[in-house]
Amino acid sequence: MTVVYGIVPAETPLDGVPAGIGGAPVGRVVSGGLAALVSPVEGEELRATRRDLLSHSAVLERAIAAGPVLPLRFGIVLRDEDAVAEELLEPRRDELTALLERFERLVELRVKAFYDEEAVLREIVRSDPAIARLNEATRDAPDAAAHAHRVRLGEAVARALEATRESDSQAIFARLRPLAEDAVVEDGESSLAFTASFLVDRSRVEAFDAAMDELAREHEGRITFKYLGPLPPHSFVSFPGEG
Amino acid sequence: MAVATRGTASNYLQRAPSPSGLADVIDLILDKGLVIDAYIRIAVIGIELITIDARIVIASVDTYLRFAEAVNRLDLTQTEAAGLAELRGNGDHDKGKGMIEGAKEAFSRDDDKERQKAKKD
Repeated sequence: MTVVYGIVPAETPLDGVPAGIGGAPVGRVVSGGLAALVSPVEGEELRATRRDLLSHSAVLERAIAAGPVLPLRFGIVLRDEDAVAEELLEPRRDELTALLERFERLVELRVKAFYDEEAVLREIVRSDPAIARLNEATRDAPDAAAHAHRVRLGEAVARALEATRESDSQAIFARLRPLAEDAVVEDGESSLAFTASFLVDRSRVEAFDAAMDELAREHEGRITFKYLGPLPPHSFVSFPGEG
Repeated sequence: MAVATRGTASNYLQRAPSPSGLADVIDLILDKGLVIDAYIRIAVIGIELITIDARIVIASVDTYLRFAEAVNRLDLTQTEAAGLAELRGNGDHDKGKGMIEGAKEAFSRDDDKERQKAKKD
């Protein structure tokens, strides 16, 4: 069986591409100007182990450093290398070539923003008199007596947190979106202030870096940003008409 | 190093060229990326193990009570900066984290499970 990591232009060098899933060396299947990055896998199934997920990702990260790459989802396995050419590269050649052209200079930058819980809760208590009052009423009260008030307090805090998240998300997005060609904001886990991926021209990555630095300074003490990239355009590639 | 010398904000901006943890990678390669049609086998097992518990549910009485406790615990008499410094050095800090850190912890727990499994493999 052969696992496929991504599609690159045939002339892309393989220098420095790390070992793939299961430690197997990564090779290329070349057809009509396209190359699929592949490696052999044993067995009929692929397990989503930590190590193999990281291997898949590492192969693609190396490829994007060398040039454009269309990343495949983890776990796409074909019978053998001939099948990669016959069932993937040949029937999809026009679409894949068009996608490589479209993404030639574009990389994905991924931003996650995590709240400092204490700092944000403090803001909420300070800015909402009703929450402050409920907090005063419940903080030293015995459990049983204050139960109903605590539920109300918690509900009000949850709602305020949601509103804070909404306004922070919009502000962060408004700052970054003009630097990108495209963007996807994710609902994400409720623990996060913001999660989004931006499709950015390589020439504007530096400007995006600077914007991230500014955002981090503005929100210092209340939000920690995790900023990943340049990545292959995972969040943006799809065949026309297919999700 | 330009970023690090431009202000204390660097502590709040973690820049990485590529995903380093399982949570990042799951985000990116398990449900994103090109998918090829039915000619091609897609046989991945073990994903449920990784993604389970990754989300926390906000709208429940238990959750509200945990928020209320977290707010009750805040020391509002301090200045903001001193308050943060105090919280960082405070042994109770972990207890206070609760809600917002929840999903991250869920991820690391799964990470550990996955790591143990990988070792056994």
